[in-house]
This record gives sequence, C-alpha cells and structure tokens, in this order.
Amino acid sequence: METTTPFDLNHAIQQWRNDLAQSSAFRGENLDELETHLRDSVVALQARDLSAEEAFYVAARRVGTGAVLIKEFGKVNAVNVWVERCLWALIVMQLWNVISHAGIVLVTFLAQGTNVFNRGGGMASLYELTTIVAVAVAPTLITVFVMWKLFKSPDSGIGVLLNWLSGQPVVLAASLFLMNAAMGWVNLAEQAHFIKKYAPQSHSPFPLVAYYQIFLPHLLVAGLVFVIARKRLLRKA
Amino acid sequence: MLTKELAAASTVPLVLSVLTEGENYGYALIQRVRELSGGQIEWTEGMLYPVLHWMEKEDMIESEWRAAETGRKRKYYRLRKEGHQALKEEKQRWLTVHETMEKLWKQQPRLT
Repeated sequence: METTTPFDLNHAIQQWRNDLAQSSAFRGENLDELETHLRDSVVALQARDLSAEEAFYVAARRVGTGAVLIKEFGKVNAVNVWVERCLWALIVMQLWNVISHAGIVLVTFLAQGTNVFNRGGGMASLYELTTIVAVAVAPTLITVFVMWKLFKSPDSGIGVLLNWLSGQPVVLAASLFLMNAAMGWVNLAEQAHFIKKYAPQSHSPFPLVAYYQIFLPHLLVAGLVFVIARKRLLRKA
Repeated sequence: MLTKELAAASTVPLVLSVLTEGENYGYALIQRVRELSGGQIEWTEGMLYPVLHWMEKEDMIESEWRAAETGRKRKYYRLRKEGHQALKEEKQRWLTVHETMEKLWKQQPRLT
C-alpha cells in the first residue's frame, strides 16, 4: 500500500526561503518581507478552499520564480551582488594559486627523479613545457572545472563546504591562508633542496625575505577575504 | 489584461496613488490594485518589492516594520512629501497621454 508524507507548510516555506537565500541579491529583510507576503497569500488561498499544498504552490508561483526575483532584487541590492562576486573571485584566485604551486612542486619533484637537468637539450625544453602546463594551464582548467561543477550542483560536498565556509569569515580566511602558506613553504623547501643539490656553491637559498615574499601577499589577501566575507554576512543579515 | 511593459510603467504611479488612501503593506497594495482594475492589472507579486525599495531610496515613501494582527511582522509603507510631489508629476504625464489618445480616438471613431 502506498503511503504519502503529509505536506508540511512551514517546512515548504522554509525550504523556499532557503533557496532564495542562496543568492546575494536578497538581504535578510527582503526575505522576511517576501515570506510574510507568501504566508498572506497562502492564507487567502486556503480561505478559498485550496489545500495547504495547493495554496503554497499557487502563492509561490504568484510571488515569482527565483530567477526573476534574483534579477529584480539584484538591481536594488547591487552592492551585495558585487561584494559576493569579489569574495568568490578572491576564493577562486587563492584556490588557483594552491593548485598552481602544487603543480610546480610535482613537476620539480618528477624532474629531479628523472634527472632531466643533467641531460640538457630536449629534456630541458620538455621540463619547461611541462612546467608551463602544470603552473598555468592545468590549474586554470582544474579551477574552472571545480567552479563549474559547483554551480551545476551546489548541493554537492564541495559546494556545501564552500557555502558553509563563505559564512565563516575567520575560518575561510585562515584556511585559504594556511593552504597557500603551506604550499608556498613546500615549494620553497623543494627549491632550496634543488639548489643545494645542483648548485651547492651558491648562497643560502632561504633568505628571510623569501618568507615575506611568499607569505605576506597571502596574509594580505586573507585579510581582504575576511573583511569582504564579514561585510557580506552583515549585508545579508 | 495589460502588457508587461505597461504594467511595469504604471507600477510607481499606482503605488503612489494607493498610498494616498493611507499606509499599507505589499500584499494589500497588490490586492487593492487588482480589485480596482477588476483583475486587469496583474503583477508578478514579488517584483513589487524591489520597486518599493527603489521608491524608498528616492524618498517618495518611507517604511516601518510593525507587528500585524496575526502576530507576524509586516513592513508598512507610507507616502512622504516627495511622494506627493512625484504623484502630481506622474498624474500630469499620464493625463497628457490619456487626453492625447482620447482626442485622437474621437477623430477616428472607427478604431473603436
């Protein structure tokens, strides 16, 4: 025998609101106002003998589809939309950087393993070509692929994680900084090892300034991420 | 039924006009316009709010959150002095269009 779950109006309204809240086009106050409108409309429709479920779907349809509302609310909350875009641009930039550094570390590690530097000629050119692919092309493709998957299915694991992180300014900024700093440090250590192995006569490859050069920009970007993510939260409240 | 474009163009003067009757909230504004137009003017309801917020930024109206009789909070809108002035100007524009069309259509009765 078929069993049906009874329709929960409050749950449906909360779900409808949560879907809209995914967009930066709405402030918290806008969602409160739309929810009140939806509830008024549901009550009026129920008074005309519609069931709760029917009334909800008719009322939601009358309020408008998500895409239409996002477009119109985005015009009056343009600052919110730009804050959101800046935040995602910074996140993407930092993720790209981590993947790019991982590419350098990997290619250099493999190159040392195959001893291409002592072979010269074509092998050295192959190393350069592989480096370009690993440092620029592959990270760009990987980042674009990840972001595309994210927008296609925001409910996937990484989508949920990034959405949660975007609501936690401190955790977001700290994790981006730590990922980049760790990858920068690994890269620096590998270069030091590499120089020591192939050019032992050169000066210390690890001057203090190298740390600043690697860590300071990431620290500044992390600070910027924190400020924008916090501003975004305050504007959405 | 009005075209989308005409419904959009008439939103501001209609809201200003309804608010001359006294303060009101979004859902009730829509119901009032529907009732007065005999169902001829139908908005995508959620799209009224960005217009209301824009009008608020332009100082035509002001708003206040208050608890309604149901216990839920509602945002009420009311006209400001600038809103009365804006309505006066809107009225003049719409009357100009209306009078011009009326004169033209009186000259060409077969159009009706």
